[in-house]
Amino acid sequence: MSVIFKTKIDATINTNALNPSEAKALATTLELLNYQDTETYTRTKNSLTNQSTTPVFTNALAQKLYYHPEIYADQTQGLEFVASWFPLVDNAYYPDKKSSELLVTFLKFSLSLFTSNTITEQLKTRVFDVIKLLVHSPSAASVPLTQFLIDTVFDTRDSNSSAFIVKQCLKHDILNGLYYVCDKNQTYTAHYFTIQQSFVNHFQEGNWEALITKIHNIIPVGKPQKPGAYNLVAAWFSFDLAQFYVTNLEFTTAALRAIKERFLFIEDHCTALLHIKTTEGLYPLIKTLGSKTWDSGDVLVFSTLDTHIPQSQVDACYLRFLDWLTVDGSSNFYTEAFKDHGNTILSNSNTATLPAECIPFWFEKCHPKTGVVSQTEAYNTLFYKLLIENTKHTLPTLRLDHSDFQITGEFLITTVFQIQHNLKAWLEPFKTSGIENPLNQFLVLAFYDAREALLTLYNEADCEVLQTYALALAHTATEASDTIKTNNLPLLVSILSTLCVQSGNYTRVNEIWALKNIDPVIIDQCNTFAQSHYINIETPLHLNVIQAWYNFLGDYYYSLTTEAVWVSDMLKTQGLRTGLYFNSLEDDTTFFLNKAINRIVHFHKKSKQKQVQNSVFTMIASQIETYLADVLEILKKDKLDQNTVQFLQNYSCDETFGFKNNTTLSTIIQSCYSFHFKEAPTPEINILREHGQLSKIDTKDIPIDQTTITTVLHNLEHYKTEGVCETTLLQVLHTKIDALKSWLSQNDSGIETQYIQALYMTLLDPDLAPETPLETYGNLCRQLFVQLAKGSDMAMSYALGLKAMAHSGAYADPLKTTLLQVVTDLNT
Amino acid sequence: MTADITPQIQEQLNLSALLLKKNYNTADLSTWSGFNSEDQMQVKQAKRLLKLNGITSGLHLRNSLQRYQSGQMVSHTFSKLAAEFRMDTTTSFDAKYNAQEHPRLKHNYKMVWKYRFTLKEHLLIGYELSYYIYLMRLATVVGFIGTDELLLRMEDANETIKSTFSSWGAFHRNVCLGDEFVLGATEQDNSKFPGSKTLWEHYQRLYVKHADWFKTWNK
Repeated sequence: MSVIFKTKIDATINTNALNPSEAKALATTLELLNYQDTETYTRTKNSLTNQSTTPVFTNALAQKLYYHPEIYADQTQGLEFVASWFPLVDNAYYPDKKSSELLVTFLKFSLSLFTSNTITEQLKTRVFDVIKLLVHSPSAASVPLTQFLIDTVFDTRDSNSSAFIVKQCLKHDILNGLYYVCDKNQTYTAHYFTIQQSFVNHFQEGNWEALITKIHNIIPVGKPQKPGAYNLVAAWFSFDLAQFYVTNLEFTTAALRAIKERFLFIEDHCTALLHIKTTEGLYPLIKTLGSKTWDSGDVLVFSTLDTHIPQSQVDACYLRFLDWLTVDGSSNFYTEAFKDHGNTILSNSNTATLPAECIPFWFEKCHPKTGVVSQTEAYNTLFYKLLIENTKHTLPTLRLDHSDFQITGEFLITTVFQIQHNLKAWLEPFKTSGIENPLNQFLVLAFYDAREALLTLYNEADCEVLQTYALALAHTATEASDTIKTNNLPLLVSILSTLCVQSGNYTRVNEIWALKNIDPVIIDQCNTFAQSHYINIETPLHLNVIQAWYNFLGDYYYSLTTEAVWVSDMLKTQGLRTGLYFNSLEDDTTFFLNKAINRIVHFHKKSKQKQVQNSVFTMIASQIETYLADVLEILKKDKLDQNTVQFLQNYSCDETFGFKNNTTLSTIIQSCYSFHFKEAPTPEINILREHGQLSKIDTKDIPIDQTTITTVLHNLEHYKTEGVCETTLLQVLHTKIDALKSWLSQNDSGIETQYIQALYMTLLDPDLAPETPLETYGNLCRQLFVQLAKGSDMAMSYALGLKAMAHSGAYADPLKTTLLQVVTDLNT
Repeated sequence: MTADITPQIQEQLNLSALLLKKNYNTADLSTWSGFNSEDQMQVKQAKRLLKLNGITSGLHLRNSLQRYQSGQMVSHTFSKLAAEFRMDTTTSFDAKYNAQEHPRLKHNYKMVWKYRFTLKEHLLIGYELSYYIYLMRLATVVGFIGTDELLLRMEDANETIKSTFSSWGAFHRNVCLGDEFVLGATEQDNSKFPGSKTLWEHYQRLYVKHADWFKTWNK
C-alpha cells in the first residue's frame, strides 16, 4: 500500500479527538489499509477498552482520512492518494461530502495530467477503480463524481479529456447501472442511469432540453470503429426520452441530423437512438423521418432501420424515399447514397413493405417514351422481382393508407393510371415495347385481374384498343423467353377471350385463335376460344358461320384432326341445328346446300380412301356421317334440289365409299330420294311412253309431267285431223286432277288457257256428242273442262257462251242437254 | 422432313417449281421446301416470303390456302370481269378500259379481255393451285404445316390440276398468265432487284435444267 498515508496522513490524525466508536472504525480502516505497524494504529488500538464498541465511520473521521488538500498539491501524489482509497471504499468507508467535493475539484484540476502519458496506465486503472466504486455506491461522492464525469463527457470543447473519460468509463463500466442520491434524511436512494425526470434533475437541473442538446452534440463525436460518448449514453435511453421526443418533435429533427452526422463522420449507426420508442410503441424519430424532406443522409438512416418496427410507422418513410428519388430530375439515382443504400432498401423490400405508390413511380421512371433511360434497367429489374416474379398470375398486396391493400386491376385502371378515357394514347408507347418489358407484364397482370370489369369500364372502341394491344404483345412473345411465354400468354388469351365476346367478328376470332402457334402453352385455350365462337349455341346461326364450318372441315381433314379441332364437335353436335336453320330460311338455299354437300361428301370419300393408312380417317368419315345424318333427318326434303339428292343417292349406293354400312344415313337418303323421285318416271315408263305403248303401263304409274300434259294438249288440238282420240292419258289427268292443276298453275307459259280453250272447243264438237262413237272421249273432255274451268276467272264467260250456244238451235237435243248440264256444273 | 420424296411426290412438288424458283432463285427443287432449314439466312428468307403473303401463323396459312384452293384469290375476280366482257363489244370495252385510270386495273382489263373466252373454263386455277403448293412448301420451313398435311393437300391439288390441264405446257401457261394477272405485266426493274429474273426466264431455265421433269403429264 501506498506510503503516502504513512508519510503524510498518519501524522495528521489526532486520535484523541475520536470517540470510542470512531476509534474503532479508524482501527478497522487502518487494518484494511494494512497499517497495523503504524503508531496511530497502536495508539488507537490501545485506546479501545471496550471491545464490543460498535464502529461508526463519521464525517469527521472520513475527513481525517480523505480530506487532505495539501496532498493534492502534488497532482501525481494526489492521484496516488486517491488510488490508495480502494480498500476503504471497497469496504464501504466512503468519503464525506466535503472530501468528495475536494476530490472532484482535484480531478477537474488535474485532468490534463491525468490524461497524459506521465501517469501510468496502472495508476489510471487504480484511480478509476476507486471512482467506479464511489459512483456506484451509496456515498456522498456518487452524485458529484457522476456530475463531473457527465460534464466532462459532454464537454466537446476539451475533446481530449472527454475522450479519455469516455474511454475509461466504457472500460470500467462506469455511468451504467445505479448511482446514489442522499436525501434530507441522510439516506441514500438508488437511481438508474436512465434518462428520466430524476436523472435530469440530478445532473441537468431539470432542464431536459439542455441535456438532449448535449447528447445530440456528442453523437457525431468519436473515432471511426471506436466506441465513443454515444455508446456511453446509449445505455441511458429510456421510454421517458422517447416520450420527450414525442412531445418535443423539433428535437427529433436535431436527433436525426446528429445520427446522420455520426454516420458520415465515423461511419457508425445509432440504432439505439433511432429506434427509441415510447411505452405505447411509438417511434418518434421514425415518425419525423417519414414527415421531413429527405436528403442522402436520410436514405442512409432509413437503410439501417430495424425490420421489427410496425409497418404503419415506416410507410411514410417509403413514400419519402420515393419522393427523394423523384426530385431534382431523378438525379438522386446517381448518388452514392442510392448505389450503396437506396438500392438495398428496394431490393430488400417486399410486397408487405412497399407502398402502392411505387407503381406509378415505376411506370414514370421506366416509361418507354418519357422514362429515364439510364435508370430503366435498374428499376425494371428491381420491380420485376418485387411485383411480378413470384405472383402466380395475381397482383401483389401492397401498403396503402397504413394497411395492406390487395391491388386490383380495376384500382390500377381507375385510380393509379387513370386510363378510363385516354386508353389509346396511354397504351400506345407500351404496345411497341413488347412483352419483355416488365411494365407490360405488369399491365397484362392488371388487365387480366380486371378482365371481368373491363367490359363495364370501357366502351367498345376502347375494348378494341385493348384487344389490339393484347394481340400485339402476344406476337412479341414469339422472341421472348419460355418463362415470359408461359407466364403471360395464357393471361393475354384470357383477356382477349373476355373482351372478344360479341359474336360475328370472325376476323378477330381468327386472330386470337392464331396465337396458338406462338407457344404450345396456349393451344387448348385458343382452341376452346375459337370453338366458343364458331359453335356458339347462344347466338343464332348464320350462313357464313356454316360456310366457315365447311371451310374448316378442310383444315380438319388435311391436318389429320390436329387443326381446327372444334370441327370434331361441330360434326358431332351441330347437325340438327344446321337442319333446323335451313328449314327456317325462306330463301332458296339449294345452291348452297348442293355445294356444301359436295364438299362434305368429297372429304368423306377422301377419308374412306385413306382409312387403311390411318385410323384417324375412319373417325373423320364416321363423324361426317353423323353430321350428314343429323342434317338430313331434320331438313325439309324440299330444301334440296333433285341434283343434290341424286348425287347423294348415287354416292350412298357406292360400293366402295358409300353409306352402305350406315343404315340410318342410307335410309334417310333413300327416303329423301323417294320423296323427290316418287312421281318421276322410271326409265322403263319413259321408253314405253316414247313408243306409244301406254296400254302396257299401269295408269297409276303415269306421272303428271311435261310429256303427259303436252301430249294430251296436242291430242286435243289435233284429234280431228290426226283422228287419234286417246282416252288413257285423259283418264290419268282426270284422276290426278290436283297434280295437273298445280302443275298448270306453276307454269306461266299460258298453257292453262290453251288447255281450257282446247277443251272448250271439244264441247262444241258434235262428233264428240253423246250417243256418238266418240262419246267416251267427249265425256272425259267435258268432265276435265268443268274441273279446270270451274272457279277460274273465265268460268262465268264460258258458262254464258255455252248457254248461248245451247240455245242457238244449232245442236241436237242430246248435246244441247249436255251443254246445259256443263253450264249448271260450272255454276254450282 | 420425315418422309422420303418419292418420284411421285417430286412430280407433285414440281407443280410449284416455277413459282418457287421465281421467288427464291437458289431454291433446291428436289427438297420438300427448297430451303435449307439449317441455314438461318434461308429460314429468314422463307419467313420474309411468308410475311409478304400475310402469313404469320398456321391459321393464316390455312386461310390463305383455303382461298387459293377455292379460287377466291384470283379466279373469282377474273371470272367476274370476263363474264362482263364477254357481253361487251370492242367499242363498249374500249370505253370501260379508258374510263379506268389506275395502270394496274387497265392492265387487268386488257388481260381479261384478251382471255375472256380462252380462260372461261379453267380460269387461273393452275396458277392458284401452284401458288397453293408453293405456300405450303414455304410454311414447312417454319413448321406451320407438317409433311402429312402437305402430302394430303398436295394430292388433292394434283388431282385437280391434272384433270384440268392436259400437259405441263398448258399448265405452266396458266401459271404464267396468273402471275401476270396478279403482278402486272411490268417486268421487274433489274436496277432495283439485281439478279432477279422474269418468270419467263425462270420458265426457260427450268426446262433446260430439269428437262425430264416436264415431259410426261401423268394423270
